[in-house]
Amino acid sequence: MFIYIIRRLNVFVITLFLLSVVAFLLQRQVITDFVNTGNILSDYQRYILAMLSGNFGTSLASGNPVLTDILAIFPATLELCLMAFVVSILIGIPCGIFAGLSRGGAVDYGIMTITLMGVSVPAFWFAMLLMMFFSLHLGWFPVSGRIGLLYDIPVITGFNLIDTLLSTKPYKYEAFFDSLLHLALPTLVLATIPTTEVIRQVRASIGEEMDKNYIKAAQAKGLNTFQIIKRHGLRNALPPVIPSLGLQFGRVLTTAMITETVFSWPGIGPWMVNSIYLEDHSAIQGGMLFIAAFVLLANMATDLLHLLIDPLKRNELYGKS
Amino acid sequence: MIRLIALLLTLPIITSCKQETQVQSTGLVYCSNGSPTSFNPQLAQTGDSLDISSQLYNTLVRLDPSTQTIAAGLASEWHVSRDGLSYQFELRQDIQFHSTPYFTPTRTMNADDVVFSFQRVLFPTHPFHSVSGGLYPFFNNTQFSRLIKSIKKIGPYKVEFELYRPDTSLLANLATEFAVVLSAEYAQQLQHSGKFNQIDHLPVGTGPYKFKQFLPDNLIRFERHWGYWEGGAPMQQLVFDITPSPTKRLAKLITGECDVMAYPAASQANVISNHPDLLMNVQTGYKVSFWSFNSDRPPFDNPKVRKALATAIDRDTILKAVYFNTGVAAHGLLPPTSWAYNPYLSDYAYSPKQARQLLQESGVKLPLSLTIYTPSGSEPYNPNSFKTAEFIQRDLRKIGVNAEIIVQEPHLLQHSIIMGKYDTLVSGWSAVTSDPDNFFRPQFSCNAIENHTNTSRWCSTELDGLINRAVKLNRMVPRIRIYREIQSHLRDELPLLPIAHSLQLQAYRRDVHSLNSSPFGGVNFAGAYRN
Repeated sequence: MFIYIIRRLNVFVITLFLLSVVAFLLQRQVITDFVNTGNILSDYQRYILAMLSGNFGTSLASGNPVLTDILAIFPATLELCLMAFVVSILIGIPCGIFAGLSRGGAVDYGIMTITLMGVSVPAFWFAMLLMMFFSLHLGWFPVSGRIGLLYDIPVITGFNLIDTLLSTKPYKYEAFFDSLLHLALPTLVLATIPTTEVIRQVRASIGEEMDKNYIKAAQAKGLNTFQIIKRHGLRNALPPVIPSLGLQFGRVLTTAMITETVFSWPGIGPWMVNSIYLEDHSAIQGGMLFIAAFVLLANMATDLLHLLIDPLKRNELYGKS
Repeated sequence: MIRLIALLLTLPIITSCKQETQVQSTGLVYCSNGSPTSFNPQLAQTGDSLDISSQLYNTLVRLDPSTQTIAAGLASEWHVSRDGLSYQFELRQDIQFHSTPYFTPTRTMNADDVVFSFQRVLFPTHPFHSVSGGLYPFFNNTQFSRLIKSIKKIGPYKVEFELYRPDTSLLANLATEFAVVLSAEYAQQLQHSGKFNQIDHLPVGTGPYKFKQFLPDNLIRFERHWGYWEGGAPMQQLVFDITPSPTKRLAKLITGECDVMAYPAASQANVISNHPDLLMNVQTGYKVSFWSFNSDRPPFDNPKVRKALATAIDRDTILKAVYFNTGVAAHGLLPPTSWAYNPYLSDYAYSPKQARQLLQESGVKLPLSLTIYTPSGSEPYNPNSFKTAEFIQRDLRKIGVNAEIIVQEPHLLQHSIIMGKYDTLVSGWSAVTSDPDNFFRPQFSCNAIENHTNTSRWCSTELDGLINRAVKLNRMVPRIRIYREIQSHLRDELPLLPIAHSLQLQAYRRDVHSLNSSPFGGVNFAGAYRN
């Protein structure tokens, strides 16, 4: 186990190293006032030491250290992404099971058609459609932001759903529901991508498992379909889905930036776009490295989670697969 | 589990039907169009929106919204000396400054505060003058330092402004949202702790709302100032939701996330007035768009040519197609609401036939070609300068004049204007004070050529004499007489063709009342409430 973690960490560190080299070279090329002593190695050493100590430079736009700005903004993005994953699991697993059980049937075709539409639809367009219908036409949801601005909620964790409940204001439950309302549409848009992925994966692995002999044995024992799925099917079908969810994280984060821009969600997306407009190089670079590191970390974390949950995966520990 | 999902699904429907909550009924949200660069209006660029000013601060005198004349503000009364060189202001004694986590006032406002506020701007040796850059664009443009000799405290609640020369536009300048009064006591504390900059970022004023929180590009939060001298505001909270895109501002207004919206676009006027929940305030702004002729360049130095070109332009079409009827035709530089407006002037009527004839009479070599310079974006005085230029181009083609449109980015255009490289220019002017002097001096005085606000590069001793004489006069009637003379002079000479006065629009939700908006674009929430 320990050796496996070390192995995974190795990959993580090497990828991060390559990324930092790319970022460093770009910065050397682009920024004219970059302190350039001519010796590329010593420059890089200085650069990487600064990065490792959390010094991403100072943002030109705000005058704050870049890391401070990112840490203040990133929870908003993370909250949105996590909600999207929760929704995608809540919707994706049941849909995947139904589709997997009726492979080739009408339900399967129906679900897969919707899934295909979900993959193909551009996020920004979908976001605008939802906004026009649910917000402007029906007036159910707000069009932008994280929470009604009249709710003055002090920042503790940066996650609005938690902060509202932690606050001591008399209107904290109202504020909590208000931030749920604000989350609804962006979450829906963002959830389309991982949901379709979950549906496809669950469908495939359920379909595969249901043909296996132990399921037939269970059927012979007289268990009904629900019991079979609950006791045997899901247990074997779900764990392989986990690493693919981790891989989705990068895509979700990219889509989150678009979604955030459409819904004026004060997360890392609009922040990066704004930094680009202002040619705030240290912010762009810091943001890029931070996001990349975060995605890599998330991948590694899901890998380890998979390892803990899936006994078959543990074979890898002993080099058996 | 299923019950939980069902609950989650019905949640939005339940909550969307909910009644207005306590928080919402005690606060207002205003969708403003940009982050302020500082919280001190003295430092603001003249083009910036000054939405924060009248919430946080007050001025010595103000404009009466209905008559456009000067009325009492922090000063309850004022006296002008016979020679027009001394203005004495009697201050109210019950004015309280904001009490905030970063400053607690120990006294009410007095003469020291007024003296501090204006000396900071005027005198380069003042300890606060160079704080936050030391640039005061409004006071520079109106040449404040060349006008005011000294500002003295002559009693605990009495201040005297001494002038180098008589200038009656002083009061109008003091009534603008730039000329606010800051707290000298706060400044003193900051000076002690060495945090000079804080005065412009954590504001302390006397206005109806006090500063609470600012998240750049996101929001500004204000809280009611109970001690406001005109009585505490009805709303406990005021939030500025910073939303640069007009489309998004309108969307938020429709969903009710905002109660009031800044600067609706001309093209949105229809949507707003047809929406059952929205209302729109319309008033003629102190803004004018025009088409300037570069009088330095022949043949535009010939008044006949200028008149010919002016008669060729169909301004009604521009009003419809560019302004979407959110403008009124301009018969002169001054808007009809100004007290100096001359209603007896006839305008140049649209007539291509007469234009062609005038052009032939002028003796200019035909066919004539010219350039039309225009800014690329929308301006406060013109929703679409480029489209305006296109209509002018089309109209000119009808009389056989070939026009080339040159679109330039703001800083490039600025350069072209300084160099005088253009034949004609689609431009305009947003006045910052209600005084007619603020229209004529920047546009037509010889000095203004180097300030590049005189886009027709007009310099005539006769007009300069009239402009200078008008501000020396103290009494209204002779001043009005001179301004009328200036207007008829300009009508005859026609250094530029006025196109339209854009209407100042303000959109808000039906349940918002007593909103007070100024013809200069600002908005005042002092009395606004939700019902």
